Amino acid sequence: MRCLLDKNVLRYVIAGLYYGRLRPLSSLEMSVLSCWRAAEERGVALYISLASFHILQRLAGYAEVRVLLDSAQVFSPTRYHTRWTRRIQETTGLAREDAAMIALASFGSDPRGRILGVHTLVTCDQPMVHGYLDKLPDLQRRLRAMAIQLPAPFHQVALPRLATPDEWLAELKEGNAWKNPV
Amino acid sequence: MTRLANEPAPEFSVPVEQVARLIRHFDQRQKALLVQLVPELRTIRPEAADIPVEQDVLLTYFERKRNKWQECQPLRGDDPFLTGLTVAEFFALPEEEQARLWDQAHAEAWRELAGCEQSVQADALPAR
Repeated sequence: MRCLLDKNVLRYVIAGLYYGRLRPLSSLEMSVLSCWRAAEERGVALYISLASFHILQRLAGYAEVRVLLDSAQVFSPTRYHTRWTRRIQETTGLAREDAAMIALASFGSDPRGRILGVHTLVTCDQPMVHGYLDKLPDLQRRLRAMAIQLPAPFHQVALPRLATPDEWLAELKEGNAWKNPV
Repeated sequence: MTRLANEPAPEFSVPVEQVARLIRHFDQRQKALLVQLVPELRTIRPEAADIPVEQDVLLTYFERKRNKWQECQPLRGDDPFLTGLTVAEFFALPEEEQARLWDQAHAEAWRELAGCEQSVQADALPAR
């Protein structure tokens, strides 16, 4: 199972590691750290976007950030990412950044190009989750129509499951591997 | 007798309130000696007493991972972090402002990385 961590998740992870010994953490900070641990213990592959990697690399001298970089692999856009971003934006009305992140979860790969997409995109952004879920049938239809014309491996592209840290943690603890919507 | 750093902690259970009552009877010299013998007392904040056990366990997990990176320093409040702010300044901002700056940094990063495209093997494993 593969999981892409949205930028806001990473911010809460860093805050959680920084404040963990200084004060009681917020439920969100606890939640993202618990998710991270649960994912590692269950062998889930964690990914961060190329943009997040770019930012975290500048902070790699800090042990907390280094731990994060050591635990997750970089996920970069592939061919058709821009096209699919545009279609997500048209369909959902989400901001370009959010659409690009959702598109990355489908049209993204690791540095060796051995995989296409992730199963789950974890985000703390509730409007993004709702915007996505509201238009999921339309997105499924549009992706099918687009994928059928694409060469391998892109014709097998799938939509990710979007989950908040709490939802994902519950799934991990129950041992349920989520199925992709497409 | 002082315990060496790598010596395992002895197993005993004296209620902390009992120790506190004892320490209150110490004079200044004895209290100073106590801080010398237990130097981590200087860095511990009183709020840490409110940290739930679950959080403590979670942090211990990540500290074990962090200890592998001895060449890296732990984050400190006055360290530079993002957009010219220190760690403490950044995390002291209201949540919305932190999110705005973090998102802005990502938007800039995406602009710098525009056109970067990862090639994919024809037999790449789809997420199905």
